[in-house]
Amino acid sequence: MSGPELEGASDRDLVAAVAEGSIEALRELSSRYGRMLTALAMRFLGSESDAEEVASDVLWQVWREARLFDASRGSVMAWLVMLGRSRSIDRLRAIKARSASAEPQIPVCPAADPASEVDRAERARMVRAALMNIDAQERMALELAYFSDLSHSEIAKKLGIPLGTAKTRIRSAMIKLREALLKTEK
Amino acid sequence: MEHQEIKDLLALAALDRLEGEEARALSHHLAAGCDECEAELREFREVAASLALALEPAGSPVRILNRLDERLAASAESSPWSRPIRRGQELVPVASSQLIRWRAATAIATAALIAASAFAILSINRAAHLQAQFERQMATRDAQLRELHTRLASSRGEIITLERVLRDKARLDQILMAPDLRLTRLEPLKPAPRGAGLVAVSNVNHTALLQVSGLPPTPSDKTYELWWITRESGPIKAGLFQVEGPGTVIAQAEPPPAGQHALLSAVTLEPAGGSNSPTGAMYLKGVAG
Ligand SMILES: [Zn+2]
Repeated sequence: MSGPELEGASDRDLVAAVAEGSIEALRELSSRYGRMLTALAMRFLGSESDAEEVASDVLWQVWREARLFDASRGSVMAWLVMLGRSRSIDRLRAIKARSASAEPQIPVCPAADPASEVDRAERARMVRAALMNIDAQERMALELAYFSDLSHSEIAKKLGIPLGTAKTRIRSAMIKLREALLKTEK
Repeated sequence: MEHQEIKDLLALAALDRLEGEEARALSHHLAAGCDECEAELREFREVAASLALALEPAGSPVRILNRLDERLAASAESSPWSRPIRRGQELVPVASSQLIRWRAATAIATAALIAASAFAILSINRAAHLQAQFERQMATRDAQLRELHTRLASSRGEIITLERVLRDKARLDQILMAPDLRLTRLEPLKPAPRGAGLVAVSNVNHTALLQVSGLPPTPSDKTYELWWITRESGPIKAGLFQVEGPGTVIAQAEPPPAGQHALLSAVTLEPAGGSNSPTGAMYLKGVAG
């Protein structure tokens, strides 16, 4: 695959090409998801520079492990995000181990962003709209669970609510988000 | 836990925050093969991933790419031949041949680091980085060999291997520093889809080295044979080598005769003792750079 072909290729095709040793395909994945991964890592780490480091870590891991990617187990994006989250948490823990100061931030609503690539931007818009329709307390619990390395009990403590309530809120937010996304996909 | 209780955990499980018993119960349940829960967990994972998509993108694409390049370059220095490469085209058959002497040696994979770095250079395909890469490799190589020395010194058998590695290192040094170094990447063909190879040639030093990996072990009545395919004489014997097991083989080969330019390099499987022109299946092939 070359330039224009790569731009039109599906994420899965790109990962398959990376597994075959195509650096160009890896670069294309980087241009599709590098900034999303950086944004994700920033929610954990706060620092843009650390977050870019995590994003490139993830892409490097894709380079090494593309052959292990199993399309039947989920989308490329979900895989990247899973890697991004776990690399972010690793780094967060390393930072915490060095200084006790790194506190996860209480999440704010995700901001709007100018449309870039149509599909991803469209899906991003849908997710944001779906999030807006979820009760603020539930959304906060969900975002805290997702964008930090806190356990359920730590989340409960942070929000000043019982553990069972914290779990219920997170779960309920996930279910509502899923329903909203299913509805908009139809 | 029953299916329904597990099902209720899936939304939380997709966030990877299950603790202790819940996590264990879920993995047991999935291991027992509940397709429904597995599918639903997958769906919740997609939902969770979409949260990242909703964030405002951050960072600089250029910086991310630069950092990625740095990692690729660094990793190329330490994890070499395992990457598959893209398949080439079939070779056009040509006639004629020449007999050439040569010697083959097998080395442990560590020796492969050096030639493998050259391989990485080709992959990255940016000539401007070649010089910097080489310098870095030269600097890391001695450290790698010192470490290797320490690790191997404990066993007599391993020391013998080390000596072989050092011999190969000297050859690699000689060829990698040659002013007229030419590298040809060999790509896998059908009989060995995971095969990879690199040929380094210097006419000034009258040296050629071949490094291959991912080829099946040589059958007892056969040998692998490397060929130069030149415009002037067609296929020319470059040498024989054996593959004994997994790992990397480094072999010294005879460079193409003076005045002849190899258009292609190829590896075929031939009857023991080798052939004067290719007769067996082709395993690797590369277009000379
Ligand atoms: Zn089940």
